[in-house]
Amino acid sequence: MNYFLSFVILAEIFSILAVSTNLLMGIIGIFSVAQAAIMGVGAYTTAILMMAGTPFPLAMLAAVAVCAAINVLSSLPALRLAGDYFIITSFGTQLVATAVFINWQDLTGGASGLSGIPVVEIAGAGFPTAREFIVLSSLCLILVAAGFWLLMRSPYGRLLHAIRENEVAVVAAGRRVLRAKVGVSAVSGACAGIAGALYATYISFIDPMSFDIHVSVLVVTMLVVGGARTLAGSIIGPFLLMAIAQLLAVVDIPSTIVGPARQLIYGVILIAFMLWRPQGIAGKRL
Amino acid sequence: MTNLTVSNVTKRFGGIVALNDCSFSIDPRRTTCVVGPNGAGKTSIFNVITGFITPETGTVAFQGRDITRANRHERVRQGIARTFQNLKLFEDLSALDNVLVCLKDEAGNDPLTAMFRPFHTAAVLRRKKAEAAALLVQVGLGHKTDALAGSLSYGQKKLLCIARVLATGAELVLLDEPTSGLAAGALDTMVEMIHALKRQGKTLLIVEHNTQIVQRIADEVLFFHRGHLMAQGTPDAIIADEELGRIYFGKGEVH
Ligand SMILES: Nc1ncnc2c1ncn2[C@@H]1O[C@H](COP(=O)(O)OP(=O)(O)OP(=O)(O)O)[C@@H](O)[C@H]1O
Ligand SMILES: [Mg+2]
Repeated sequence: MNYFLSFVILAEIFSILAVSTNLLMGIIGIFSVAQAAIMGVGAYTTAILMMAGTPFPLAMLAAVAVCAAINVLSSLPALRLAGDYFIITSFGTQLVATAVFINWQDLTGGASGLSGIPVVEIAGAGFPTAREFIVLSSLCLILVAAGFWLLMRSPYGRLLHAIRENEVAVVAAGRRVLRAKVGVSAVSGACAGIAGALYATYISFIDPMSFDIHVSVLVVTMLVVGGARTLAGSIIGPFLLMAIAQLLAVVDIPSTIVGPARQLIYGVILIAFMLWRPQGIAGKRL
Repeated sequence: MTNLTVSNVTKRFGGIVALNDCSFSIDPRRTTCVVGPNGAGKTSIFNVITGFITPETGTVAFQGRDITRANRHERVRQGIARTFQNLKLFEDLSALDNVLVCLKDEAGNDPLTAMFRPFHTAAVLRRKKAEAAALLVQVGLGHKTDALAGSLSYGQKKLLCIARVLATGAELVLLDEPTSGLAAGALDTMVEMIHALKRQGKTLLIVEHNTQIVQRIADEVLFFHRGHLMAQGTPDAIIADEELGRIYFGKGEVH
């Protein structure tokens, strides 16, 4: 039972991260492999603040603000120009973030990470185990999903869709395209911050490996499988891929090859979807 | 009285002089047709006026204000909007949303309002849909609100471009070849549309190749050739000018 709850909680956290990636990839159309790094910034921010005695809601709020700002700063060059080269820039962001996580020892605990992150407490209610935490993570996913849905059906969502279709025509209509994109990027960063805050407090231990390039690529894979540009895609992908990982763990194979086998399977799935179903299970064509 | 003044504008692309020391003024509520052979600089002068290209020398002033280096969105807010020769519709959006996105009103166009004031945003959306629908009716596309722009006929697409440019609320409207490629019926609809815009009091600048249509809609004509503004005058005077006729028809233009 706990095993299953844990799977749901992690899939929910990754769904929130997938929404973050979806906003950049599916909605603005810039391909990011740095969303795990942004989530990492959120996780470290939350952990450090909580270990210094800050209550969870405030720590999470700070993580959201910091991640929104960092996501905007790191995507700004791509938002100004056409976004084709952003995958390179975002790769750089990811590497820099990982290097900072490893080397800023005083703050991040270096390669050994931070452990003993306090249990979440909101207004006297504690969330010590999966049984309680799932309420929090589900609530966060619901709020993020509702936010995404409201965003997309608003005039702003239509504006974003129009920018994807024909940016020049949007400019000609007197709209500020850069401002609109910065808004999405901030929301995307905020989502990664929420995911990071949940991850740090649920696992209660974080290290640089939790937010490295593999995790960023994993999220992109989840989004490709689930389908970009839709809310359903951002949720189906993480649940499906993490279920596959769980099955692998159950199958009786030597533990040394579980990791590589999982990478291999993810890689094959990614290529297969790119070739035969680029819109994913429930997405729209990029 | 004058509301657009272009002074000594020059723009080069490599060795090509797209606009060569062009100067002219346009009075409010007048319809001016821009004519000239292919590559004459007609679209380029539109691009200079709307800020899509910046001239090397010269200035553009609108209602007494220098806008030569103003941002594109500032120009739209001041009342200058355009269509494109190659339409640039949002093909995958409904006709209604094509117009809605272009409405002057910025309400509902930011993420915080959209997410944290959902009921207010829903009300804004309803109001904007009504405004956009009214504009579609105005251009004769009232029956096509929910159709994807990409699914419309070419004539309907061109009318949708008119609705979009009207949505900006601009009073100086630049139409780049609004009648090109239209069959007889759609052509008459478009000419009628242009007359309706004139009656609304819009100041119009229109690239138009067909001399008969120029005579039907223009108060004034600007004749461009190889980047030079060769002449400015009434349609009758320009069409009667033999020199200009030789330049224009000597190029093997199809009319
Ligand atoms: N962005 C650009 N880069 C390079 N050359 C350009 C550019 N825009 C225009 N030109 C050149 O400038 C000249 C004028 O072009 P412009 O588009 O203004 O002509 P036009 O009068 O609109 O012609 P048409 O009737 O074919 O639309 C042409 O020789 C064109 O090739
Ligand atoms: Mg042209």
